Amino acid sequence: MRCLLDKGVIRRATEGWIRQSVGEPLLAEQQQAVTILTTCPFELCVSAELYHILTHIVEAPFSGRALDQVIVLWPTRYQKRWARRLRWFGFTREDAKILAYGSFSTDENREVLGVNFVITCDRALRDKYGLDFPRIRHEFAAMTENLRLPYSNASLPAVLTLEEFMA
Amino acid sequence: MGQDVKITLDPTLEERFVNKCKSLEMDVEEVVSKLIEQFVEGQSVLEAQEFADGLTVREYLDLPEEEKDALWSKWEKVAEQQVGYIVKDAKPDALPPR
Repeated sequence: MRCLLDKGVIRRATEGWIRQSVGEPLLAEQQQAVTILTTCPFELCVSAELYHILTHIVEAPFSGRALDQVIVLWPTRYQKRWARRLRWFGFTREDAKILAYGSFSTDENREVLGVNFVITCDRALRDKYGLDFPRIRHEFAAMTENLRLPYSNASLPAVLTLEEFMA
Repeated sequence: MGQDVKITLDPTLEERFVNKCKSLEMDVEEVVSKLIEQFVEGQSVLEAQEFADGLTVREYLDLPEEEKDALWSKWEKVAEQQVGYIVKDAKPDALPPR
């Protein structure tokens, strides 16, 4: 099973590790994010851009530990096209991008395609995705049916909040 | 050779530290070395250290949620520009999620 962690989850984990380091208690979502990154048995993935933030933009105490755990995903063909179509449903640019990563992304060795779950702290994103899912699925099927392998095997991820994923 | 490091601790803190090391059955010097190693390796931070964008760890933690959100969105845009849009073509036998 592969899980793509969105920016909100990585942000909470970052804040959680910082709070641990300076001796402050963690908020619930920070604790959940840290727990996922330290104990989740599934393959944890982040986008290439998010990986860049962790390695080049913020100075976080956990970087080494967290980065050891994650697989960096890169956009594949059709990621941009699918993100554009998701915008038709009213998703923000950022949300459409992460959802499209969920279907059209691959690892450094180009051996995987997409993920099972997108994990987010954004309940509104999860709710909207669930509400629009029948129409999204229809649009996705129309887009992928004539693609070549492996893209014809692409699938839609489930979107879960941190809390749901931990339950 | 590097400069000798001598540390003077508050006597109460020193006593608590020594007692804790004893309770853990660990050598005092070993614990100090380990803690210093963690600090040097970046595995622990001080509140006054810079986190990003000229903000210290403390300043970042004290920001309202909306400002933290805005910062991460800004950093994502910066990362997009710095990484560029690199498309990797998945292999024909690339594994979809199971």
